[in-house]
Amino acid sequence: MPTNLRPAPTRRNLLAGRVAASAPAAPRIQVAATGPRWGMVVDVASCTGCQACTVACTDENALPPGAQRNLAAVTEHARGDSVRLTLLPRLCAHCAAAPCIPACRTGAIVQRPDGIVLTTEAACTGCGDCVAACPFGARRIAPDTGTADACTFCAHRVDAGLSPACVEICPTGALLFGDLNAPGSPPNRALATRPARTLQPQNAAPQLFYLGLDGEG
Amino acid sequence: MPDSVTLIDLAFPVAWPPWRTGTFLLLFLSASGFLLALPGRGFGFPRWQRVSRWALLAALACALAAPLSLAASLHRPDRVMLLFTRAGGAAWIGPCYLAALTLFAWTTMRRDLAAATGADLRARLHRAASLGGGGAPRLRTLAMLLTAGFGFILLPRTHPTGNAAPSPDLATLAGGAGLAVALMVAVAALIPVLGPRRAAPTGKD
Repeated sequence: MPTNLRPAPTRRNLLAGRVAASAPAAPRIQVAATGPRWGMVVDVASCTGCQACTVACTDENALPPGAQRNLAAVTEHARGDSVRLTLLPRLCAHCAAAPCIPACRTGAIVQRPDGIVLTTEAACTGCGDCVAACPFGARRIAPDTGTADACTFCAHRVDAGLSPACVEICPTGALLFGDLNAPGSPPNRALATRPARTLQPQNAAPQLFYLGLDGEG
Repeated sequence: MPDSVTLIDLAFPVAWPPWRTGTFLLLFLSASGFLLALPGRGFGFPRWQRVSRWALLAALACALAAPLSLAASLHRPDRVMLLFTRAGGAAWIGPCYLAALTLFAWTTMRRDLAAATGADLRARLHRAASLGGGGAPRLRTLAMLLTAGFGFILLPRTHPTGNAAPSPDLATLAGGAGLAVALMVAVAALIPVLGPRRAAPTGKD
């Protein structure tokens, strides 16, 4: 079974604990195994916290003042028994089994065949269920529209053959974007040579990987 | 598979408007009120008549207020209808529960409405709303079964966040059932106080 498909939301599955009562409002699109599957690798050891990615995202997507879709902030995280503070660029992980999609009752959140998770603003009621469902805290309610908002991997730029604005602007090359199905893509080259980590929970299959999280980079 | 770390803080605050809690609280209060209304208004036990009447009115008031609380929980309350028009057939169980409960309340209160006397506007409206004032036992039984059925489907779907974890659903279901049972026990204990008053002894008996 593909990782982004869930059991049917029947009463039997509900009582067995296999699904929640909330049914997926929109059919889940299987992420293509042959076409492009966009993903990103963040080299934490190279991030200087200059916030150029945040500014570029705000400018590219014409966000109002104070709004942001990504953030390179000092973040507290735990691995095993150790708690660390790390400068961690945070954005939507465009999970293969995105928890925000079944949480949305109006089907406003959809996943394209290339894996990019998008929010249809006109269909969003601003209920905040997807914000609560995202385990990575990558979604928010936009203060100007009252609807849910998150990183889109700059889908309009990707469709035009460009990289996301944050990747273009990063002065240290800490953000690597590309097709995870292509063995020679920048993310795959980095993942093949250095140990990478993702954020919990892994069953969401986040497509955002971190290098050098424990200073081994 | 890459190793993983656990994120402790969140980049953006979790949006969970407190009105959402009010929505499922009102729904469970409504269902509890409906259960309390059954002995007197559904099955006709005379000692439960007064309690069941108030319970039915409370159930109706809570069911009517729940959609308003749902709308208030949205950042875009003007789009509340999208929750029904875009979310598929299951989303209409709530309105169906409300319609069935309203029908049940109407069938059990028709006689009370028809008994309104006087020529003022309120009495005339009551008599008009009774549509004749018959008991309509079959319609009442049908409405009672529909309300119970829709409620049985609706309540497990009621949860605070719409998240994928099943435990909140089962927890709220158990909590709602427990609340109803606790209310029934409490009311049963108070029936001598809340029930129909007996005529005071006159000393001539």
